[in-house]
Amino acid sequence: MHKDYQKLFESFEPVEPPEQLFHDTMLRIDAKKRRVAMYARIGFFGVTSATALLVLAPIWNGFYVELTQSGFSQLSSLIFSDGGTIMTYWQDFILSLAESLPILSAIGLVGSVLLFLVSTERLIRNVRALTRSNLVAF
Amino acid sequence: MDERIDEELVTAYINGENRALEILVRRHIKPIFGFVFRYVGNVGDAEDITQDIFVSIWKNIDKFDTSKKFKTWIFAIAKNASLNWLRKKKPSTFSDVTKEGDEQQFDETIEDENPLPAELFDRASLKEELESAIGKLNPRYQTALILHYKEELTFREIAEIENESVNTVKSRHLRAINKLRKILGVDAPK
Repeated sequence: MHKDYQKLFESFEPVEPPEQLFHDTMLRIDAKKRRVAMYARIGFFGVTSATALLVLAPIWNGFYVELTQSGFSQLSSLIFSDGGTIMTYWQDFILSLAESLPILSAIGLVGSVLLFLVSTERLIRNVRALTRSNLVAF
Repeated sequence: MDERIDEELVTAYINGENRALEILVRRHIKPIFGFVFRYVGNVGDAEDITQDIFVSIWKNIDKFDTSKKFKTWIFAIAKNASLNWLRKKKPSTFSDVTKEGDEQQFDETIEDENPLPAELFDRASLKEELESAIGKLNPRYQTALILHYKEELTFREIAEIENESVNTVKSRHLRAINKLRKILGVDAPK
């Protein structure tokens, strides 16, 4: 590098950026980071919500089949047909009812319903936040 | 003031040190803004483009090859962003910027420039004269001179930024020097 020109360019000062440029730039990067995170969450909750909805039908079918096979529905129908006996032996009745309930299928069903509701709620919340941030950006 | 070099800061940021990005932005925002301003010519647009450039740097930082020079990489991004802006907003200016002129390409070996007369450095208004002289040059000439003498990049690094051969950059640099000498009233080398 030619020394004379190097010395000459010591007198050259690039145009000063506005004072708030650094701050604004960091804000832009932070906003972008938040949006990327929102997109990732939307993707995650969208997939979770759709999966939960898809598995809901077979889980419900499984639960229904087990429910009819386990005698739970016959036992619970006694409430309407033989209320007096049930009142007398209510502790035994509740125990039998609980034993006949297909617990695993029920947990699966409640779990997938909850998963669907929670992920859909988060999905909607993130889509709303993203829409708001897009409106702010414009 | 952080003593770490740019490439170390990039690695630190990729490894989760958020502050490293802040240091990088603070370190380079002034030269990048000045560089963009030379292309677009107004503060407002230069501000927007500078912000876009740093967002783009953040987005692509994990793709940066730390064995290379960070400064070269960000100036390449800045150049592309500025040219894209010109292409979209001011197509006529864009063609002026990218047009090299009808000057012939120099040979591979380019001799060193003639020394500058001592009286030039004694001029009271040197700073203003230089600023005005540089402003009169084609943006590509300005880029060659500023990157080489102000940002201390080698011709090879400038060639990487411009995506051109080293010889093209060297010849452009010499033409820029000759023009600058003429504008400053210093005799061009024979």
